[in-house]
Amino acid sequence: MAFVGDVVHRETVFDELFDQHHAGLVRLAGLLVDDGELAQEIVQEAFARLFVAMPRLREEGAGLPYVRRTVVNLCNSGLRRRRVVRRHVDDRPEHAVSPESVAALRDDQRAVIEALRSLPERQRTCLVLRFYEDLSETEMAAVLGISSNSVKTHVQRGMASLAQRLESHR
Amino acid sequence: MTPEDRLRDALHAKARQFDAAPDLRDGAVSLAVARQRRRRLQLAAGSALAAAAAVAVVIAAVAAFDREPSRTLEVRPADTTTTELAPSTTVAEEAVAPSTTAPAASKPEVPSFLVAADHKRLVVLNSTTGKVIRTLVQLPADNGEPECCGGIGDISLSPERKTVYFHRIGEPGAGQIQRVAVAGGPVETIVQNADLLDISPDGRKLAYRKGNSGLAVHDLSTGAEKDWTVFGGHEQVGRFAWAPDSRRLAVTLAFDSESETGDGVHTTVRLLDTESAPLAVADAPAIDIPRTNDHPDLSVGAWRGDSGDLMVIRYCCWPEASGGQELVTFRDGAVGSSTQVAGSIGDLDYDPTGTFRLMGVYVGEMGVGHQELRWAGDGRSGTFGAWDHAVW
Repeated sequence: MAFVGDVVHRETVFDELFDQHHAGLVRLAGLLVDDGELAQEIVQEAFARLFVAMPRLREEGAGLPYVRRTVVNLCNSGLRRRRVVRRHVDDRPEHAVSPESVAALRDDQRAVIEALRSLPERQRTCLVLRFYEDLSETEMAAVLGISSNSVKTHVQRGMASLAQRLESHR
Repeated sequence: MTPEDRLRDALHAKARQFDAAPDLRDGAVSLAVARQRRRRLQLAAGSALAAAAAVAVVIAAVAAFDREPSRTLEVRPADTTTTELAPSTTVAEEAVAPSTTAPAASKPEVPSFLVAADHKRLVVLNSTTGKVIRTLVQLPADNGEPECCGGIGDISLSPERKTVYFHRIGEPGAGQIQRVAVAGGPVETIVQNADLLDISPDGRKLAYRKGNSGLAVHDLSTGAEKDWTVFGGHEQVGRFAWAPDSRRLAVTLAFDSESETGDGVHTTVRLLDTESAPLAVADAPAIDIPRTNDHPDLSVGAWRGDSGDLMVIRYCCWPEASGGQELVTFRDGAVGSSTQVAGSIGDLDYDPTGTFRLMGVYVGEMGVGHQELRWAGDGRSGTFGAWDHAVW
């Protein structure tokens, strides 16, 4: 079996991961930060970190969980940085959304996305991983570095809050 | 359309707005290579200083041990040691030999009990050879319908090592606690509507999470049950572990609290006296365990019988993709040692022989389903393929 530590094989695996998952991860990051440019930067950074880490990842299947986890962590730390910058720069709302970015959505979809944005960060992340990436609780726990119990709690509370907010906007 | 389907539909529609830019692969590789070069230069400059510091630490540790002749030599993690773990390779379970990295002679020869990663199989495993000794429970496969046949969740072993108690996963909030003899035989249902569990060291009481959020203690000889209150959606019981006295119970309690990170949930570790009148879990005294970074999560791991050390999992290294969690020992109101582990820590259990004072750690790496049984006391590990729950 060829290990990821092998230089030639490592580059092949890296290329395959990039080809298969780059676009999907940009969309995942986009959903988490709601900023297309920032999403591109985050995913590029995540792949750069993956390239360095690959010799340590002895199993081929570990590449995607690694890069996905990096994307999610960078999205959340990126969001925090952006919040701090905004506090010092202007008074724009945290999730300023361009008109064109919501134009392609139906009204009901737009309402769901807006309600999702109003949730606490961890709940929002869990819901995106669960209902966009279709990850299991165990997979989400591995991505987020938290317990499966916490994942379950965040998903349950996130869904409850989401339903409540959608109901109150009717 | 269910709320879940509605959310799924909106997310997929929204995601289509984020198109990937033209190929940025070369940019990512260039960035990585430049960083590696810079890091090598920094390491070269700092290596001489680091070597001197390491020698100083060893000298100080030896001197400190010499000054305390009555102290028992314990194999304990050094203060804040970071251990990098690569995912283990999955191989056919019947033929797996543990990939130990230390002399085999010092390894405890006890069986361990494991639940398969697909939650369908509970086995007794020889921790020395890595071979499955016996399959205790085998549930039917789902055949593409994940909810069809249930599964096996948390497990706990009776102190005389003759009975395994386990969570039979059912519909949400409708699981059961069941037990089966280690020698094999029929499965018996003990409690309805429960999931997480831990049996007391004297074997007389079974603590379990009730109704997906509450806590109860079941007297195994009388069948009497004592319930503790939690406050609906605001509080939820997580992991718990009996103290050596079979009276106190350390409990992870999650509660709503808007934190700086906006996650909405914080956890504390509470110490319940199970022989007192039942009360709200949140009224029990909290064990003060400092957090790292801004991460709010804690989880009770295991309690070591011979010392009173309580092992707690502290979810620490949030910003690092390669970071993970931290094992922290707690004793008498103070945090003892800590060990950072790159990956997710699942079940924790102490080696029952006590001879080596080792800790059985169950580590799930980033690759889902690739876990590793690990003796964190001296850094050795044994790889047994993909499993989801473990006790010694």
